[in-house]
Amino acid sequence: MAKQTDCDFKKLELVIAFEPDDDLRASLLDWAQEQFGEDVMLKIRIDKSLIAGAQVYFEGKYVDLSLSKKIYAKYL
Amino acid sequence: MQNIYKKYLDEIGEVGEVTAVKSAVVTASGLPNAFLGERVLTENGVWGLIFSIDNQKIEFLTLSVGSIRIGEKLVRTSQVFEIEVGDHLGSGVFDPLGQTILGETLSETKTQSRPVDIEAAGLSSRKDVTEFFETGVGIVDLIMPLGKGQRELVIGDRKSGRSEFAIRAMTAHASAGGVCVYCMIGKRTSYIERIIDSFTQVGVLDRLCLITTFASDPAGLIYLAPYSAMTVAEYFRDQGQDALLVLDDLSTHSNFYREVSLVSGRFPGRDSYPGDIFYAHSRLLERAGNFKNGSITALPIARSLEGDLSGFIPTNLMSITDGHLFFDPLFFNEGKRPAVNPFLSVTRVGRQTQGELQKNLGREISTFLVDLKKLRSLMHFGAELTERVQAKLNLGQRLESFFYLNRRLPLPWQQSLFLAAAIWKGWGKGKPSEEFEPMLFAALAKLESDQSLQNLVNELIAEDELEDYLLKVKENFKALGGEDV
Repeated sequence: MAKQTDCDFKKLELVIAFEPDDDLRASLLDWAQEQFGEDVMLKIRIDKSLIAGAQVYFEGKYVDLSLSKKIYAKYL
Repeated sequence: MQNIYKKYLDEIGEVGEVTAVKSAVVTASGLPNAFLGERVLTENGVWGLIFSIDNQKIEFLTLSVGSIRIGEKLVRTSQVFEIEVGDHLGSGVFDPLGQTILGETLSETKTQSRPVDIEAAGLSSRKDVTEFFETGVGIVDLIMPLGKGQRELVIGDRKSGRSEFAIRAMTAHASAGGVCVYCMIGKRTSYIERIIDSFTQVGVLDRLCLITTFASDPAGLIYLAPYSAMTVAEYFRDQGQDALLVLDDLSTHSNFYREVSLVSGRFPGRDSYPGDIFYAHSRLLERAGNFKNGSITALPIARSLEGDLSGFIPTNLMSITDGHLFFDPLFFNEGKRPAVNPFLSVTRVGRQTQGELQKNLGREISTFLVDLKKLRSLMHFGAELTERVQAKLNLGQRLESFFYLNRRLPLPWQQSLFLAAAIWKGWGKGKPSEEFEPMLFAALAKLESDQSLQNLVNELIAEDELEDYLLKVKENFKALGGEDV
């Protein structure tokens, strides 16, 4: 079997507002693997300007579920 | 730019990631619903145009200068590539995105967005080419005439005067109140400066739209330049104007298209050009023509090698256009300017737009030039020349002195016709070129300054019969200067 490279994995990118601990990382990965299969790779970025919530990038799709977006939408 | 990026990201909800950068072509993953020809924007503010798509990846051409790194994100815009067109494009120097290059302030005009690469208008919106297009070049106006809406290829070696011809045609068209769009494809900065200078000198820069791309611009932008220029010409056509579009030149355009195609891994065909190089040019030139509301006369320029017309791109373009003017390096080396070779040039729809006088005199002179060519080749045998043959050779010399007059300003076709008729009827008979040329220059100066002579020339055009016209021209030799018959 050919060696699996980074490119063969589905990449799930999460942008969140805080540094996750190992437990959270593990449970996020578990959840992702449950949803999308074993070959999913989790990438987490920190952006405090999000305040809370997350931005999700997955297979070319993007969803902004952050609090900052909601605040902007409501007040600005 | 970050705000625009964010706006598209939120609106469309799709994101891509750059996976490879190969010169002007960038490969990215993601953007599941992207379509061909769509505009994309990277995080760092570089615009791109989607060039190819498959299941796994998209490829786009970069349209602006800026660095792109692997891993960088990009968004789609749901828009095809469009430019803002409006009356402000009637004069000035622009890039293919419709942005001014010299930084002048543009007048506030009503603009509209138009996609750059569209399908050509159908048959129902077109009409026959019936109106004469004046280039201001004697030999072309008389022997190889063009019509408004004609697509005439201008082909020749490097430095054979193709651009000079186009500049004269644009000067003539702009002086007559027409709109000109000059598209310079991948030119040197010094060349563009020289062109701007020469238009300023003849005083028509404010009536020209120059779409320029520099050799250092991204290949994608250079590839798009003629399509942008055509869009501008279409805008003016839709305003009911007769636009002249010069594409300088399509050989360079094909080279840039070949570059991006090879870099993106498309299979090379003849001369390493991609398989759709014909389509790239045909879909562009098909958009020119004579329409019910206006016309676009296109003068695409192409390069031949060592006077060889049978190259791949030249033959492609010949089959797309309605004829070609061949700028022969041999003619150029003989000092003929413009070096148009009437024997190897073709005009398919121009002749039907000429008036009877022009058509008949043009036909007679063309036949004469062919005879003259044969006669000259026979002369190599060293036969003794009879008086009749000498007269014929002298007429040929005088006609050539007139046709290949090195002149910057355009000559109105009525004056060309008058001078050609005068020579045909014996003006300057027996004079060798050295004596005849000063006579010709004096006559041209007189024609330029003497209003009554101009009126006379314009009145004579009203004649129906060529013979009557020639007789009247003969009666007025004296007005031209020089003596006798």
